[in-house]
Amino acid sequence: MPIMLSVLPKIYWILCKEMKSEYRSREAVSALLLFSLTTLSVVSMTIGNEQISPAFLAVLFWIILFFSAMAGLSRVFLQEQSSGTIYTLRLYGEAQPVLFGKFLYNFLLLNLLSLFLLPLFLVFLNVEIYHPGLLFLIILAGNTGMAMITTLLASLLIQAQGQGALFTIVSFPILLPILLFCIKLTTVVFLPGTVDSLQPLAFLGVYDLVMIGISSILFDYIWCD
Amino acid sequence: MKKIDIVFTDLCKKFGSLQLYEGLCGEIAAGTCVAVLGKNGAGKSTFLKILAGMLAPTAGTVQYLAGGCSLTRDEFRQNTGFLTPEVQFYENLTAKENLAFFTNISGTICSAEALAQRLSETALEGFQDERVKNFSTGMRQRLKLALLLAIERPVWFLDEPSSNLDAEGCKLIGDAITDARNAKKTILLATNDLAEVEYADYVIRIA
Amino acid sequence: MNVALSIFTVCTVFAVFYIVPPAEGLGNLVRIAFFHIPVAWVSVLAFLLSAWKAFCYLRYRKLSDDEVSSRSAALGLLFCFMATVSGAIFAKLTWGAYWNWDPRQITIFILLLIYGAYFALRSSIAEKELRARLSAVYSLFSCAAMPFLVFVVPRYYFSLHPEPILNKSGSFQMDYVMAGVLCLALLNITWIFFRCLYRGGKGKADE
Repeated sequence: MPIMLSVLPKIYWILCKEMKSEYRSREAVSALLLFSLTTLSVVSMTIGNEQISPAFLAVLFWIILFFSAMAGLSRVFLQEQSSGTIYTLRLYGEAQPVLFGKFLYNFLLLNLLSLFLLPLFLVFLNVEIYHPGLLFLIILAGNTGMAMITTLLASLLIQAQGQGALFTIVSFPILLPILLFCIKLTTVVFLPGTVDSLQPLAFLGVYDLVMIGISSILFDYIWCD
Repeated sequence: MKKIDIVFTDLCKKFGSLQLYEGLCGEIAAGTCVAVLGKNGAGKSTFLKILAGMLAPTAGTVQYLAGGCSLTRDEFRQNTGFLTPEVQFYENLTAKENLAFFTNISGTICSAEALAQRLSETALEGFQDERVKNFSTGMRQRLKLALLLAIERPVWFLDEPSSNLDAEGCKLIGDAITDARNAKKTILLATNDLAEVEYADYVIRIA
Repeated sequence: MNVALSIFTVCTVFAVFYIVPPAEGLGNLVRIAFFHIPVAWVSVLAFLLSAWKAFCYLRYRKLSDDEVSSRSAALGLLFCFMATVSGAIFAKLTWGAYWNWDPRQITIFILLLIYGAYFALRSSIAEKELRARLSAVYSLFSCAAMPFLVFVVPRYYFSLHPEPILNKSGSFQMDYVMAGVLCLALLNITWIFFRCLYRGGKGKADE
């Protein structure tokens, strides 16, 4: 118990620092929100009044989230490196609090984006959500996985060249199961009628837990020489 | 105060084909102040980083002994404080917020009053709520000193601590080192400034 | 050793073309499967070996483990590419389209992406130890994702692939002759893989 108690406040401090920093510069948030707004507007304008199939709606939602993640979530580590603070963080910060603090920050950022995107979907694309509870769970599960994986992989790239493109190349294979499952589940949400099986959601949950566990183990090797 | 001896054997460091040094052996006993001298590019900062466990040597070992038993590198790192050029602060946070952040994540619990006290000791009391991006280099150096004092670690690694400081700032550094020596902290000081060498018990010269 | 391998390969090719009878439904095209299936299995084996050596590197920090890990990954990429191409040709000849995102095709495509990402990461880091450490981490990370990509994802998508040879009840669905020749082909390709893996390595191990 004593070890847990000393780690949680540190995670909290790192999360607060990230949020405070972001609140004062608003770089990541504005980039993410504007990106998703423009993408959605373009689709809506070109589609017009045509009905979009639930499958396509699901794909659109998660594609926007995915590309926003690629654009904005690597900043947690890469900006520390470009501003020089990564060294000081390495000197005084332990591996696990740093990982989980930044993971929580990315998770909150993705949830904020989802919260922003969903009403826009309803408004622009005239979508009917038949199972809101399920959608809520899917978004939480998907965002958890995406946040953890992108946080770990961003830390891998701190000392690499050509970080922007490399981040997408390196993240895509590992994020693919999340994307595929979330799209499949979200399609069901946009269809009327009862949900037959929640097994994909269970698998998604398991994948998230596995990714969190393995990230926690592997991060020590990235953080400390 | 934890007493930690640093023992290094056969240290060798190469960057590509550039050989900095080899076969360095020695011991830094707890409570001593050691100055590391050498020309620019001789490898003073690298030597300090290797001893601090921040950089792996090409060959050789560094051992940390406390009361007869050996500490791992991670355990040693929990006892070190730094004032080096690589230390940077978050530009968007204020001086007080930076100090609070680093002290808390390093495990040192400091009250707001204690942090304010550190800032006034380093002549930054008027700038507590000023964002670091508006700080001059001299002020940043003093903020680094404030952080070093705030985290209260028994082993100090100082790399050119008086750089960018005016006479008053240099005096602050001098007082801090003197107080630390009186408190029997272990201090490693890499410098080219002969005035700073005066504080050392003995000197390691890297040619 | 090379001679034995060559003779074995010739025997296997002979067996594939002359001993195996045409399968019902697929006809003579089933012979491509005797290349495609072993090559696909070996690409997964190479991946697992690469991840195992990555784990060994992180544990013992011997650069030779990293060497084997990256060579295994390189061979794995080659075998994966051959599996993808042979699979696409088989798909075109039997189902009329080279690529239609069949679950097995998804899996092999993702494996290709993981290999590509691994090498992209390796080529972006210059320093040897750092590169070894970080690519080992990525290798293990993607290995943790593999069970989901290979076993879970395909179950949820409609498959044009012939049913897996060992179905749920564990009984063989193939004709015994075909099964025998398939095992032969499997052994052959695996042998070729290990021969290529340790061809350069043997020279280094002798030093």
